[in-house]
Amino acid sequence: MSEKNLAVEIKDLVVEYRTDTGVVQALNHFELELEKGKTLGLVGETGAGKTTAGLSMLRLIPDPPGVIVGGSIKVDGEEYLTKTEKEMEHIRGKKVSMIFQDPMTALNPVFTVEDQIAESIALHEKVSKKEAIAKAGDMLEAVGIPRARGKEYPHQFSGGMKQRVVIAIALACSPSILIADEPTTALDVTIQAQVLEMMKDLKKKYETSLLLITHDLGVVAEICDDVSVIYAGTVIEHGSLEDVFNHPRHPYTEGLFNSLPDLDNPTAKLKPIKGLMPDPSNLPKGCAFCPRCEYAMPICETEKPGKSFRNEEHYVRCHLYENGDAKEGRIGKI
Amino acid sequence: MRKPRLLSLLLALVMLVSLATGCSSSPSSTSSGNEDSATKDTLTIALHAEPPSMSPVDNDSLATIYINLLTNNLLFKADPETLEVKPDLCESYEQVSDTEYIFKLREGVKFHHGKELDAEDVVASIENAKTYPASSPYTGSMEKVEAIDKYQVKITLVEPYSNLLYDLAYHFNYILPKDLLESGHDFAAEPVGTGPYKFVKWDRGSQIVLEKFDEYWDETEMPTIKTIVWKLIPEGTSRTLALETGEVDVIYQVETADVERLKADSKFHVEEKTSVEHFYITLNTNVAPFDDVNLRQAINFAIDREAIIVGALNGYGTPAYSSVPMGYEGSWEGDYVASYNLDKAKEYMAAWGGDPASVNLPILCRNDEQVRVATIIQDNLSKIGINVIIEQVDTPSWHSRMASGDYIGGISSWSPSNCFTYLVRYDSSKAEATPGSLVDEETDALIDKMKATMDPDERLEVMHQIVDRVNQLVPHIPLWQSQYFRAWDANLEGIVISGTGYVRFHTAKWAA
Amino acid sequence: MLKYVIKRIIALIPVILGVTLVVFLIMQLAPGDPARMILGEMATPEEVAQLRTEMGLDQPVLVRYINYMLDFCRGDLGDSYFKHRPVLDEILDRFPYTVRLAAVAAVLTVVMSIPIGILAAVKQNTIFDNASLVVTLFGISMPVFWLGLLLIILFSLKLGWFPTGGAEGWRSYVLPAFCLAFSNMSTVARTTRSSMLETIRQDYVRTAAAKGVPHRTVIARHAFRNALIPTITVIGIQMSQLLGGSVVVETVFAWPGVGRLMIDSINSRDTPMVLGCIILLTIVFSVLNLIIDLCYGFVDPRIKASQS
Repeated sequence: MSEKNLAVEIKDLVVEYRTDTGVVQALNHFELELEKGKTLGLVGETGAGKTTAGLSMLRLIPDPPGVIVGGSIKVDGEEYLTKTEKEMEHIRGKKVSMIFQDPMTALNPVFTVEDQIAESIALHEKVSKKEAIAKAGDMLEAVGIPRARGKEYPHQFSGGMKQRVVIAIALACSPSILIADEPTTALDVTIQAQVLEMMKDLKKKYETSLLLITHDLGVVAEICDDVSVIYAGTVIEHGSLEDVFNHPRHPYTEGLFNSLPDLDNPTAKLKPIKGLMPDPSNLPKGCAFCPRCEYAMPICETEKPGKSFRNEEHYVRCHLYENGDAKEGRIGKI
Repeated sequence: MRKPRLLSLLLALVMLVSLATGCSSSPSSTSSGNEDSATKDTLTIALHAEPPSMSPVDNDSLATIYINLLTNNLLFKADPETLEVKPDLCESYEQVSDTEYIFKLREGVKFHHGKELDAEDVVASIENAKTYPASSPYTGSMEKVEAIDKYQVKITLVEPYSNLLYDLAYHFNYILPKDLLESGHDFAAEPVGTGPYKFVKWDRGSQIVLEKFDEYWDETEMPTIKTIVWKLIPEGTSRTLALETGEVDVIYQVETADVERLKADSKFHVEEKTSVEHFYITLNTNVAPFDDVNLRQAINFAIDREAIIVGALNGYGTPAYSSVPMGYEGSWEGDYVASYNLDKAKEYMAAWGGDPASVNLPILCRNDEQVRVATIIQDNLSKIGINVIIEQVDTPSWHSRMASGDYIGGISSWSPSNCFTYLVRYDSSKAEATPGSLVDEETDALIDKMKATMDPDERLEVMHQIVDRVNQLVPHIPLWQSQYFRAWDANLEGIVISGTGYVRFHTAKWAA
Repeated sequence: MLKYVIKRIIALIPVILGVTLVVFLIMQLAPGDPARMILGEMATPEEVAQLRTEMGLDQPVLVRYINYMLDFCRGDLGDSYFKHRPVLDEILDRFPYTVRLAAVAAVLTVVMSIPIGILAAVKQNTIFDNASLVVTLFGISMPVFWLGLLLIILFSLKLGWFPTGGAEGWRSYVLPAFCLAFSNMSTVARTTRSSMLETIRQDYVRTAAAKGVPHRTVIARHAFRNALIPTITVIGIQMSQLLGGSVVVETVFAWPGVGRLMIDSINSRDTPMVLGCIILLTIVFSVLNLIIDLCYGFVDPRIKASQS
């Protein structure tokens, strides 16, 4: 694995939210690998820890109550967890950028959009205010907004346009890594497609590695190269798009696919995953998915499953597979 | 845990600071007040209320009088100690008949604008005063004022009247220059007279500046201090503090709570004076059962004045038992004077014969001090079964209820400049202004006699008769005479204050 | 925007008409007769009646009101019953002192309270936050009168730094302005804190941080500007109170402002002076409201859009 050209490598990351009412285990020995120039989809339900993972990379976990307890985040081989706040300020927006979920609230209502784009440029590049504004105009055009509209305020833009502005901000300094947290969730379906298409193009243009955080498998299928499935703060299955979509190994991954409508067989009943995510402040001792799992065995309640590999890349964390071997599928067969 | 501990810590800190600032006078401030006094040619006086105007005729405010005392002169002036009148701008006078006086003016007296005083100024001033309704008690007796020659004025009275000289010593009759009166000069904004100080400026709401008038006519009382500044400081404690820091040299109206502190400090002189300001309960004698003299006497005897002074007035004040305050020439305790005597009060209640429980006495009060007084009266009168109801109103309401007769009892005070003026209030004609005040033919006859009696000794005798008569009828229940406190820098000399609240500042001197 | 301002100023006319009419009627209904107040309790009814005629008080209220408004339109606010000078002159003598004190007090309030409010929000639930709560609570709960005297005792009597009162030179502004500011800062600090707490949790603040904007700039530029509107509202309300004159502070510090003038005028039933003061206050309040509204527009482009 070490010969892979990794943009991001996260290992054993543990993040907790500590409040008066208890400790929430947001990320539980979380791991992630993003290859340079590739797109990784981080898929999971709301509350699984996807956003926390994204924010951790920028060290923007709200503190208090968030605490990074341990682990390692390496970007281009550099360890981020030991960097000073000042160093992180230079990284954010320059090396690693992030697009947030809701474009309606992600823009500051009191500044013009070009100011908001130029702010990032002025911070990270040695340019005058005027040049920064000019470059902000270029970025607007790059995301398909006329330069002249840069003088307007966010409330004068529609949702899709705002998301384009947010993307322009994120890409303003040509970051090598872009984290996109549910970039299309808040948008109309027609706009979603446009925005995704645009992101794909821009990613190519700026040679950016993309971490796409989403719960939408359709979006993943659209643009991702690799997929990590996260459940209760832990990656339970990881592999290439083809691996995970065609050979799902984890019961939870299967559940995700089963809860999608089948276009080939529209009359088939949806089969949602029963139950809810476990209380993150009180996770089960064994496998976190165990209470909802159809295949649950006694061992699932007491021990956390280790990795089992289907191939060099594709792995799963599930007790169904013994001895680290997941070549043979076990789900849908019992 | 953290919060309460922090709170108590801060509380303790604030208390410490207030303690540190509250007690013990630190030596640091001591110097500032005295240093420059040797070279000082300014006298700064703290005033508690701003004069509404500086014209002597358009208002009756004491603050205006303070200024006019320095800027103007009258034909006669009241002696601050005895309150008797002495000639001022008038050099001598002669009573030609029962109704005619001739006044000879001083020669060579100059007004601030350079004009010399003559008889025409006197005529013009009194005629001007007569056009103001408020002046009528002090100008009403004069039928005609005419100039005989440059320095002689003849005043003809409507009828024989014994108080003319006192009236001429009252502020409505200040002598103003005729030329400025005719040209419509605004005396309300800028006083011009013959007084020892002339007007410099008036910063509204803040200060009034006067400057020594070098051509003042009275060489015996030529001022030595060049500038007098009147600073308006409405709040009593702030006035005391301003004196202590040396920002002002004299404070008028010392807060009673500060009196002992200032007395204990050798840097300051505290002048204490029993004033003629007479506090009493006005009773509406038209309303039953207060029309009954026995009931009024019962109330009179049941009130413990000493307790009021101790309990409500911080111990400052003099009990008043007579219907005229002590301190005037003519003041008289009288033969019928009451004192605190519950047995006697009960005798009078019995003589009245009504049911005490049926008597409700509402007392109108205008401020907190009066409420405190009324509370003690409430307690006193409960011992003879009378129920006192305390009602607090503002001054305008109080005036309107007095004028319309819509009252039963109320705490009032009055401090006119002389005994005659005080006694005239018991004339039946005053019941027009305040319905329910005394209506008694015998008193009226005595007051008429007083007006017409020119011989001073005889007049004094009549005054005493009036007091005795009124004390028998007790239309008002006398309560106390207030104590005036003035304080000033101990290096000041020559300030004279009177029982009517007047002060002579032009004689003030900084000790060498 | 000019159109908006003109519209707002025109809207002031009915307000002044209404306010003066109400005050006229209240002064009429309030017990107490100015003529009686001038002449004192010993004056005869004839004397009072004569003075009432001279003062024009014998005419019906409505006639007097109409006459007053006609004079008002000519810029004449009448003469004070007691001060025997034009109301306008007296107000113009006193109002500048009130304005200057209010301005200094407002600046002090802002300077003291906004940093406290911001820091309290940023360091929520820390010792600083709790301490600021305690200090500002002291400010609001300490009687201004008492605070004023404490300040005089400490800074005038003990230290001799500032005068006990009056309005001469910059030193005389310090104590009264601090006194006002200290009692006002609580509201401003608490408002700033709570609106900051709200804005620092906003997505756009996170966006700014993700851009690499330094923490201080995020707080000062992105969060604070959005938190300003409630703060401006509170400062505006306080400013209009200050411009109405603080009677207690004016009394303790012998400040020649309009607050005391108005109270004295009400107590002496000096109707023209009261009306003059009320008209002044009405204009001041309205103009301040307008300024505050324009400030909103300046701070928030969404509001500005609705104003043009």
